Amino acid sequence: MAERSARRELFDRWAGLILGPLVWWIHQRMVADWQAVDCHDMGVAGRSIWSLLLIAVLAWACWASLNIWRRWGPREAETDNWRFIALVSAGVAALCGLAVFFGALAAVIVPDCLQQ
Amino acid sequence: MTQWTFEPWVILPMAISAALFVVGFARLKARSEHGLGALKRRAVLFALGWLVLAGAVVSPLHEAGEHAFTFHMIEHELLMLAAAPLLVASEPLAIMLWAVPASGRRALGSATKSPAVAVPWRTLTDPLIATVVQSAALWLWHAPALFDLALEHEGWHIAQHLSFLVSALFFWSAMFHRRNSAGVAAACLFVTSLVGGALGAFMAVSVSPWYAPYAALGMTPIGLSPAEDQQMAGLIMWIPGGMFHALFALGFVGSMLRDKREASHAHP
Repeated sequence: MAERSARRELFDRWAGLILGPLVWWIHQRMVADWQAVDCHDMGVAGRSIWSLLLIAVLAWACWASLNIWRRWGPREAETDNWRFIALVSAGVAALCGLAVFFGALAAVIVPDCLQQ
Repeated sequence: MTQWTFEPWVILPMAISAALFVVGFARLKARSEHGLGALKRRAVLFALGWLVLAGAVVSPLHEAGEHAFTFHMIEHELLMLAAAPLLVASEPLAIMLWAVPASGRRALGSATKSPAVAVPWRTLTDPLIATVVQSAALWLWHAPALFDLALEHEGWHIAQHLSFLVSALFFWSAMFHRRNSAGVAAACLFVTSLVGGALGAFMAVSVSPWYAPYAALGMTPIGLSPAEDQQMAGLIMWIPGGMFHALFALGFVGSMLRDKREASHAHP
């Protein structure tokens, strides 16, 4: 049980740093490469649902990392470093969430298929 | 397109600010025994910021911006990304204060500490508020209705440039202020990089011109169609504009990591 909790804590700490760029990359592949360049039409609803889902994943990652940052007490050399990583992780998740949001906005505003 | 713009609303404030700085600098220099190097460094930063500002709004670049969106965008980028940070880094207000007589200086000094001045100043130079205000100014002024208004009426054009410059001055004041943490500054700069970059990207991938006065001009003097002109302007805002904020953010992250390393060496 304790091992599982430690593993979960380890994942939560790095969640934003791992999921942030990964989700941003997936979204970029979807709306820019797959839709705009290769012209696979997902429709506005499809694009919006996928974008919202991916933003929700990043919101969760941000929240999980932020929780780790909040939970640990400050000023102990080792935990202070882990807290710092958790804070950076939450920040990266938030930034990538913003990037996905703008990507989603672009997918609504700019033409569906750039080859047309 | 080689015409210089000598509008009184530009020349007058610039001349007054330069005169105040020069007189204040001369008085401070005469009194300073120590810290002359820092004072000179601030003077150099102010001179550079002032020259960039003049280059943006007085030089032929301003006139060229009337005929091509690309030049207009370069003018805006110079205001917000070069002139504003250089002027803020020079911390000119404290030096300019020395240009006024001692009694006036004391009165101004105590006025800046009064809540009527101190509270709005602290609010507008709060990193989060300054980031939101600057981003809002950027996005709102690029809405076609407002940008068209600025292109068609000189008064609105002045308001647009003032909003960009003033919001950027508050933004960079917030970023450089010692009371704000490097981590918060880095986050605000990354957000600004994304927000500005996204607007530029939208312009760059748009296939039709957004602004009617530029569309009506037809081919620009640099041989671009209105759509291509807008794409070029968007690219300038997206790539160099976004990179500039991101690089500054990385600089703050670097200083944060250095501080952490020094703290862990001091308290192992």
